[in-house]
Amino acid sequence: MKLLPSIAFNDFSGSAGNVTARKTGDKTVLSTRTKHSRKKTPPQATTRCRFSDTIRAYSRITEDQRQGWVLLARVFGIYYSPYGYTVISAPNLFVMANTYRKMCGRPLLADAPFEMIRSRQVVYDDLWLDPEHILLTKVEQSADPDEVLYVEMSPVFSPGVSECSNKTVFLKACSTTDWGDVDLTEAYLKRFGTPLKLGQKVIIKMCWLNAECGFVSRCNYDVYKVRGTSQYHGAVYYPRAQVTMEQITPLTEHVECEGFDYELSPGSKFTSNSITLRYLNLHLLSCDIPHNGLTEAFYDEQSFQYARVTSSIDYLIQSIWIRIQNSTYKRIRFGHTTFSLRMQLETFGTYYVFN
Amino acid sequence: MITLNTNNFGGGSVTLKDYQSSGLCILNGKITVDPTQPAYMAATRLELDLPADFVMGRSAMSTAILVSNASIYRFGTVLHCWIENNTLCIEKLTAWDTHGTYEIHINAAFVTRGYRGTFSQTPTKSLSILNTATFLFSQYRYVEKDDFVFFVATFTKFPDYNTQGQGPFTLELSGFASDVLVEIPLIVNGSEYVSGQKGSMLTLGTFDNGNLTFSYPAGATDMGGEDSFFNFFAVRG
Repeated sequence: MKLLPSIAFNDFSGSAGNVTARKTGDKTVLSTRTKHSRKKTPPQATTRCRFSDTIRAYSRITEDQRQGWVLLARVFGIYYSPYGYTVISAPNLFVMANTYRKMCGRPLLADAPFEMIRSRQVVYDDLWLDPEHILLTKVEQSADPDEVLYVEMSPVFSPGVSECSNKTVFLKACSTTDWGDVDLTEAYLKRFGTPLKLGQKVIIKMCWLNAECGFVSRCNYDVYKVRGTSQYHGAVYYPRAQVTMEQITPLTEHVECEGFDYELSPGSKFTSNSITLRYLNLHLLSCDIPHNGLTEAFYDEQSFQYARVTSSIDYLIQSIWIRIQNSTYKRIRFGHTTFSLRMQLETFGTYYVFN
Repeated sequence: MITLNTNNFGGGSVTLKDYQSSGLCILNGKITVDPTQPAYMAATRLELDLPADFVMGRSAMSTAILVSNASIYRFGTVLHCWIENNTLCIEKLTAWDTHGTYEIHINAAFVTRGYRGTFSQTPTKSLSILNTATFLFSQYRYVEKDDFVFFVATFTKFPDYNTQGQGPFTLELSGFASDVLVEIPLIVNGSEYVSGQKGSMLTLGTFDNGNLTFSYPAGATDMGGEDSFFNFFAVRG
């Protein structure tokens, strides 16, 4: 509980809650705090707090540490931004590096690093930007383990806007891609609450950022219009030929599927997969699990694979065939040539797929 | 052929027969592992550096077969094997380390993921067994490409040590590529299991000039017979 001074007493100063009083001449001026007064969303407030926390941290480092940042800014202080060549000061370099480091999950860096590795632009093949998908494909993977793919986005609320890179907010930082795919759909929904609308404009800022240095320099800044086809190749969205745990009913009367990761690759047709099964009945030559609909890349195909028993006789090798039916039946069938001992097994590897 | 000169388990150089394309690689060969090496004991997985110009830097999951030095039956299992950061990685299992030096056989395909597009069907080729008194397929699939073959087969009739002895035995085939020379592990579990058994009974066979030849070790009981099988990719030529 706070004791608020009454305005009836005209000789006081200090703060209470969001109200600050100060004496100016013979007058007392009351003001409310203006920090983050223009914030529109909680993420904006979070970003601004992160920024101001880092600014405060600069005032707490030692003079020697400060000199280290001064020296670093002298060497790396000039860089090219969308607004031309920019000179960066030591405090700004400290704040920038640590703000981006924090967004990449790294702790605050008080000592200046020996070098500042600049961010670099992202090379990718295509981008789906529609109400259901925000997906980059064939993103060039970084070989540097310190690099993360750093992405900021912002929906544009006015159709006339075509350049407003400083309006984007942090969306995602990921160290790897999913075989070249970077799916931003979930992160966007979590950040902005509503899906994209056809015709809407979106700003995307992204770069490969060295998370140790946090030095954002070269970036992709692009404004896109949301549409039903991909941005570069004009292709309708086409999913990868995958089956995962989300697409199956893992528990049936006879078997529980504890892991399912299956994908088709071309040439003619290969599967690479990793599947873990727990049988609830020993005496079965085959059993099924249903799936809830797969892409049209699947029709009726089977692969013949090695399996490794993980119960009874550990590591026993068995032959298993996996048949995926996606026409009349919507099921995945596991078949064996013997009844022998298997309560739990895993099958994995790369094999041809036959129709 | 590619040579893998360095590894993290104290092993020597390894030479593998290879087929390479950007989305598919086939490797054939054998790696010898000494479990008494300090480097092996410190390793959490086995890593062999691929040549710098190897086309595939990363692959989806594939397989290798561990063939132990366990007495008579050479028990072993299937291992996870994949390519990561231009390194051939193999799962490390210590279940048979007490039996000394063991072998890892790689006769596998490595592919990449992330493909969007259409697929064509896998073309198969028919094979005929010429000595059907000894061998009969339960089911098989044979794919013959210009550069490699894939062959998976299970059997309803297959030599059984108890009734047919050590061999050698030859699976005589009509239609199998004559330019494939590869040594493969055969999974010959038999119908009964040894007390405390870990893994499967294995023997090694060689495809040469279109036929598969193998034998069983002396002193075995209940090895081979129906439900024996193999599954491999092999580079031609």
